Amino acid sequence: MKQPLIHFILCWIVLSALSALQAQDLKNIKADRFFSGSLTKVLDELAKEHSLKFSFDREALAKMPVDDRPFNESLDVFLNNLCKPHKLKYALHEGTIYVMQKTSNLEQVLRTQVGKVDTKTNLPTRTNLTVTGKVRDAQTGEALPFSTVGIKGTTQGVSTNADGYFVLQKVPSDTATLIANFIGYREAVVRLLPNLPTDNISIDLAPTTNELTAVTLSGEREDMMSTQRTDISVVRLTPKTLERLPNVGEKDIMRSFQLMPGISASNESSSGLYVRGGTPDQNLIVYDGFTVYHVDHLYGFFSAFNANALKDVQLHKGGFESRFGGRLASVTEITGKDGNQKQFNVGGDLSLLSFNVFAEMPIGDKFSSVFAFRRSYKSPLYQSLFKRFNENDQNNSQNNTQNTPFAQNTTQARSYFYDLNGKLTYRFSNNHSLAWSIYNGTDKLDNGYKVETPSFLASRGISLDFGINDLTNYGNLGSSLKWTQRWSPKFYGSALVSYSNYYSNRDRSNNGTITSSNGEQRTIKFGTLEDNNLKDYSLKTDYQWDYLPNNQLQFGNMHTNYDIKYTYSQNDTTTVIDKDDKGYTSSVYLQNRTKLFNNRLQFVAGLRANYFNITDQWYYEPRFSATYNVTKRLTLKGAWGNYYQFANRIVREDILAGSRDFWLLSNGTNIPVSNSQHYIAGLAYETPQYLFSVEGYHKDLSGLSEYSLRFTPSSQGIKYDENFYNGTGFAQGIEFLAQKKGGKVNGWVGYTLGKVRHKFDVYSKDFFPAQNDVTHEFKAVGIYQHKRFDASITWIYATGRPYTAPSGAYNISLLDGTTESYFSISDKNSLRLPHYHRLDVAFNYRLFSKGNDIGYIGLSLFNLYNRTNVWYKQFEIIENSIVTTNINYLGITPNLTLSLKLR
Amino acid sequence: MFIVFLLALLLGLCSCEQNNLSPTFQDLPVVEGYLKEGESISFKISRQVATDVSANYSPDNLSALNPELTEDDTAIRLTAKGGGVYEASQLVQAGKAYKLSFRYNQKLVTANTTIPTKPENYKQSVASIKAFTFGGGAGGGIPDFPDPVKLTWDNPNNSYYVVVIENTEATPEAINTGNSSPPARIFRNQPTQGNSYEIRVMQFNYYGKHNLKLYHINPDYAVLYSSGGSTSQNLFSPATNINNGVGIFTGMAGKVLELSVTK
Repeated sequence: MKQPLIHFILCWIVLSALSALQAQDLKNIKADRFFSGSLTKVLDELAKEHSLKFSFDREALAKMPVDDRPFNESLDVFLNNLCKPHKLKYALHEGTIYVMQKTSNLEQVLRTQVGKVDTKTNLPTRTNLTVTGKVRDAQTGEALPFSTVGIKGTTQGVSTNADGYFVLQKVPSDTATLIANFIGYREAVVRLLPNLPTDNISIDLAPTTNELTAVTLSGEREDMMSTQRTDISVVRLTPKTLERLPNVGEKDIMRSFQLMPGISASNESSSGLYVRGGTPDQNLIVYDGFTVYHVDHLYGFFSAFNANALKDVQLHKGGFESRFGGRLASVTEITGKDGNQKQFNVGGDLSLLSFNVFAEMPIGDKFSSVFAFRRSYKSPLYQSLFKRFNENDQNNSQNNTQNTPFAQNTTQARSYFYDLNGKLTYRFSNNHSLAWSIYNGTDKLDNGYKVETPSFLASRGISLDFGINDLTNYGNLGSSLKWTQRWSPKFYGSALVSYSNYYSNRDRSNNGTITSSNGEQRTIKFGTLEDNNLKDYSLKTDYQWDYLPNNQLQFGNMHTNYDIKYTYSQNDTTTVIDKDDKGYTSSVYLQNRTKLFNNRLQFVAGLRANYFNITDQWYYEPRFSATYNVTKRLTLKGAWGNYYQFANRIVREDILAGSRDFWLLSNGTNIPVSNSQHYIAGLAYETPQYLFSVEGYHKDLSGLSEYSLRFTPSSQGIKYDENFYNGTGFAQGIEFLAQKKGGKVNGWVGYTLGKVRHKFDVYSKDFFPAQNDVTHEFKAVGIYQHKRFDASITWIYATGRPYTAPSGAYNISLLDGTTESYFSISDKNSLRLPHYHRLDVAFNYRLFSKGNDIGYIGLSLFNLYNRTNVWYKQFEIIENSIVTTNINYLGITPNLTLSLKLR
Repeated sequence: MFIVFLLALLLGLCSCEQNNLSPTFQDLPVVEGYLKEGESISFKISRQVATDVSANYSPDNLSALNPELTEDDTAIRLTAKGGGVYEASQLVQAGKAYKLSFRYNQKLVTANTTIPTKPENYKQSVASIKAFTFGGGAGGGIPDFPDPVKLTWDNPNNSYYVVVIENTEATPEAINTGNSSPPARIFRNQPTQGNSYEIRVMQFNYYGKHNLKLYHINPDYAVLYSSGGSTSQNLFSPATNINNGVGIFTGMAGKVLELSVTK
């Protein structure tokens, strides 16, 4: 295993073992000659000349040059002079001079001297003790949530909580060695010492990006200690390392998840996750505690999350715990960065799609902040993606009755997306903090055009504003305020208030405004206007109590008020739909985690109870999961759970002509509360280098809703029938994962065999393939690293998705002599699109300055062999036959990224 | 238990299912009938185009379906004109109910409609309008930028109306000659439940006489504009008022005004 650099734990050198050195002695030792070479060389020479005992990281200091001529200078001054330019410091402890980073402290350094501690003087003084502490990023001081801490040589281990705290009970002795892991970071080995405290110890992990090593993405955190394989169906990643994977224009957490088995990767036009046969709206997305309702940028080609602002992302693919509720399929838990707690940092990325800047600013040691901003610009890549959607869109536009001689004077409106993340954290003490997080992301997609006022008209005081509107404006605004308190090392709690707003406006109309010279103004507007506005006000508390050595109790409550408006109007006069749903859910949960048989068996039993005021009913969600370590390498897993969903995203049939989706609350009648039961079983076999995992799932679904808006004639006029079709379904599948976890070449292959069937009486008495049904999906990811270079390759293969095709078609002549084509349909989703596959590659060259990683230059090639993958099919009647045209996804798409940061 | 569960899943997932079945074609007749008040009766019956080129069509002869049409339950004699077109010399009358029935593919196909009343108080704001061209004013001067033509009518019941504007010149002269292909001589608004419509001068493509037809229509016709999709993402069955068939059989009553577009 490769050794870490900056943590100073690998190459501890004992150069001599003389009598204990005193601080006063340093003043008496004089340096009086020319020193040149590396710092390692200079310290070696000093040790030899003065019989001193130094402890330092040999490899790191070897890169630090020294060129100095002290004149009879005392050694304490000379050492300071040597350390200062390299941001180092030294400390004297029990006769040894420790040279370490300025940001490190001696206690941590001492703890990391595994194998170098004199066991004679470090005999255990306490046994069966409790150790508490926090796992942090060594560079920034940020807490690392959900990292694992275990005891070397035992099967004992725990995960840190959302704020990085851990409680490790029944630790055999105060000389035990702890091992801490976190994806994207080097493993840290920490020694307990009898003369040092066992409460509130800090374990600092060094990021691997600085060292060009290690795996970036792991299934179920299985690349960590095998004894910590306690989670079921969890995929996690750290955004820090995403840059190594290929991308279209942005490193993207959601796209990266799609490379793991069980998460569909063949839908380029949705960043939302299709997890185990679920739809994106069945995936709960929690960002710093608030729910995010929409994750797409630019028609779904990118997700709305800026990787530079994120610290950790976990995806629970199923069987998730009682602390989460309100969704049927899965949970994506996103934790934003707190910001560098040690020093100011700034950085940014420039790609062919967007620019991205971030800044981290600590004030003192109690306050930290981070801000990140990203915005697309009118690059060829953006335009090409935008046009891809809108060329198709124009094919579908109907009833464009406007006809203008001003076409030559038209201007294309601007389209863009942006997002902003901010977080301020104040730590009152080690056990008490307050954090405010805000996120805002918006897409403005304008496919309309406007006619400019010709100058000769403007000079006469006449202004002309005429054009076709096709404006989509959607986004999220979310914010949370979280109070965290560690009442005691074993009792931790947090309270959170949050607000989340999803807004989506679609103006697809023709309008004309004419202002004559006498100031008279007339406006006409034809077309459709849609407005969906969802507001979620939530209050949440979570507690964690390690009340017994092998038992942890988690409990809490959540109250969410929903206010969801949706209006659909035509010609800015006729309101077709005007909904204003208000309701709330109140939930409480309780779950217990128990470890038995020397930690070989762990089971979690929980219950979540939800009250939904619209139906005036309680909904109970019992959940159970267990893992059993058969051997040190083989683990069996199982989970069962009941899940309800109260807010539903309705996907419009005509995604091009209207808002793609909108949210509605269940009403207990024609929009029932949907329900799902998960059954999961699996096994995993892990060696230090490899992980092999098989997991099967079956989900029963009920209360599913599909929506259609039908315009039907009636004696009173056109009736707008909002049809909510209700149905049931099931999803099942089996996932295989083989992963090489480390080394110069690492990566994984995954395969999923899946099936999703729905049954809606309105379509068929039998089950039919759901739109997101993918039978076979294979993924292979390879990452190669060599010094400054890294390269990655991904290949995805998936069975084509089902679609409904017309069984027949006919033309009708309208009153103005034009002909309109109409299609009859029959069997739902009876056909499948061609198989989807593509190969992506990426190359990065890392940039270093004074030994520090300061960024990279990256080239990414999406769809390298330019596979024509079909997005959907378009139908036309030409010469009395139905002609089908394929509308395709992206062909080969290159992207260049330059990423720089101060530290 | 784990292994049994995983094996059971595998078996369930591997069970054979037929994929890529051709959609089942239902041979329903297409009716296209606009019964316009004051005009003779004419409608057309045709077949759908099947996606599956090997689909079977009914052997019915479209021109010999012997459809029955009644006006307020009184039979109307129809003449087959070939190509599925049927006509009657009788003029359509406002307020009367018409019922169509015939057998096709061994099923009884029916449709009915009532002719709306003629538009009332249909007026135009101007009888002529000066065309708008860039730099095309007399003597090279700046052209006027006239007010739009405002059409108004009574509509106390929020009925549906549609306006169709058609150039009626035998050899119409285009206003702007820069277009690569000749612009349409006819245009319309979308069906409206309002009582007015403004035609902007820019909408006219030709000089000369134009008919401004206002049709009082049934919702059956208006719904055609909100019906159906054309991609695999948005297909749904279009609305129709034909039982055991598709298409439209609807009545309407119109009035015509004239407008001149001048240079």
